[in-house]
Amino acid sequence: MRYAEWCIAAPTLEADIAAAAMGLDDIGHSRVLYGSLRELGTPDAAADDAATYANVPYLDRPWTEWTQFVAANAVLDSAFTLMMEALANGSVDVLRTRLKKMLQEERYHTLHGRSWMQEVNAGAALERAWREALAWIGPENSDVDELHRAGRLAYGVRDLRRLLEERLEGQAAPNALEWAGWEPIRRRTQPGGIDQATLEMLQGLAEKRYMPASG
Amino acid sequence: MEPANSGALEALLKRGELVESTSEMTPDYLRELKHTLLVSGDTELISAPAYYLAARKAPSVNAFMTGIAIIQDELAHAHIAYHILEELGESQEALIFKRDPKAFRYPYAFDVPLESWTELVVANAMYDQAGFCLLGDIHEHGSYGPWKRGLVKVMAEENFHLRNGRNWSKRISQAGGEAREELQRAVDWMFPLTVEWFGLPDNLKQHSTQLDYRLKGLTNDQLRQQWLSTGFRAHSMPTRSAGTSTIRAAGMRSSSGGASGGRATPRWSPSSRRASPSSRCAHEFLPAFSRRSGAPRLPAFSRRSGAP
Amino acid sequence: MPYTRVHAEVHEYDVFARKTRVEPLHQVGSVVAPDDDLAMAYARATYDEERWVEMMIVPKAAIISLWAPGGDS
Repeated sequence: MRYAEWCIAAPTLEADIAAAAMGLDDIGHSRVLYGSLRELGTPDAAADDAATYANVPYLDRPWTEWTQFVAANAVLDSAFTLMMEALANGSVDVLRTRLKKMLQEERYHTLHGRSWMQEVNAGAALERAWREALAWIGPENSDVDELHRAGRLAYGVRDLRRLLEERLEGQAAPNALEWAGWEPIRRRTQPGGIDQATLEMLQGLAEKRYMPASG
Repeated sequence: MEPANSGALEALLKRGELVESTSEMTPDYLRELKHTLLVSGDTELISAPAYYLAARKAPSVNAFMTGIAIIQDELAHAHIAYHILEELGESQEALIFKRDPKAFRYPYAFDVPLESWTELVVANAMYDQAGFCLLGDIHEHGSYGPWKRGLVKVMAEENFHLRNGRNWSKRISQAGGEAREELQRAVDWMFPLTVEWFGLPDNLKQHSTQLDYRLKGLTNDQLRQQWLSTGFRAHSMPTRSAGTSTIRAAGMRSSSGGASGGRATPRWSPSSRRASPSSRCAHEFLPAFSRRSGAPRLPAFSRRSGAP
Repeated sequence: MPYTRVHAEVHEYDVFARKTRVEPLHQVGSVVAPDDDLAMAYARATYDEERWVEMMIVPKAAIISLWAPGGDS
């Protein structure tokens, strides 16, 4: 959704179009992932409030600078793609088959982010995105590493960190992370959640207005 | 004085062939082609922020994403027109980001903001249908090869917008009550604006260079009539078949009849809906494309920030 | 002809694609970008009207024209 919000605000018309396209890709990917969860026996979570969404804090609010878009694109999207790769190459059959198309599409997000990173100095946005990406991957010897040892994930935490650094060739990784307050489900250290307008759209309650009254 | 290749161009057009290169054009043809491309590019571009404002009010993620998909298409269509202009020696960068907002050429309809999801879907049904008629004409009859080929994509995608407009209009109509009344209000104010989209009635138009050069194939009235008959009348507004919706601007159609010679534009005043339409207009969006610092933006982002 | 964008330097790429295995590639449009990475991302985002089985981009500068309508070449 945050990508899509930039469809009329990017620095070139071509980037406007790409922002819309990548926003649409990612909504499609969320559908695939929710579908996979269902198939794996996890019922849909309640969407009562913003705290039920396990999103990184970077996505809580709309971005106000193009550098934030670029850093999200280059760092967060890359970290996400690496995790999808780890799942697609792991031992869970459902994911091995379902995530292929997603990975193909994510390749273009990576290319987009990588090229724009050379163009803009993302500075603080890059640092923040990278920290949150590492928090999202999680600490060593916790759930991700356990899943890796069990063969479900093709990569462990160290692999993911290294691969992310490789994708961000030449950029300096953030210093040691602080794990106090880290929530294993939401995979973040800060409280908070998405803005009210986005929440309402996700809940889709306004659709009732367009249902037949007798209905 | 006639340009050297004036006769050759005329013969080429007469044979029904396509112009492919600037070397085959007269300066006059090039000027008309550029103007027609500019209006098309500007209209597609301006539709994007207009639609975005309404898409933000989508009732669900699915609906919002449909809105974004439509905006993506419109931007890609603008890109086609601007890139052809670029190949003809203009600067896309200057056209989009460095022009005075008042210099953009697009129908008045986009100066009236779309303020709800309902207004967006009616715009899809009406405005995009108008665009479909106008671009379909250029696709079918147009004499400039690169544009004619570029429009293959455009036609396929505008069709998707129409379907979205029609399906949602039907759904809202069936919901009844306040939702349906809002739909009716949107139809009422957008109808005359779309009639106006097609330009002056033929009997008030002296001469069309665009027709001479086959930059279009049908006259304003023919296109307007096509819009009224093919898309809008027959399918898009199920409220009408239910007998509760009326088109209150029927007088507009007199322009195509020719008898009354009424001008489409001044007869209807948008002030019947908007207190002050001129104060709320697409010019508000345009700073988004002109990247002026301190200008209002939608959303409030500063374009190009962080760039060297 | 040099094109301008916010980037220091940009190039034009022609975009080719085909819908089915039996048909040949044809030109579906062009994009302007500072490098191959962004050109790929833009081509795929801009020309998404079909589910293409193949898409490729070619730097316009790499194309050698033998002749063309209008007698320019």
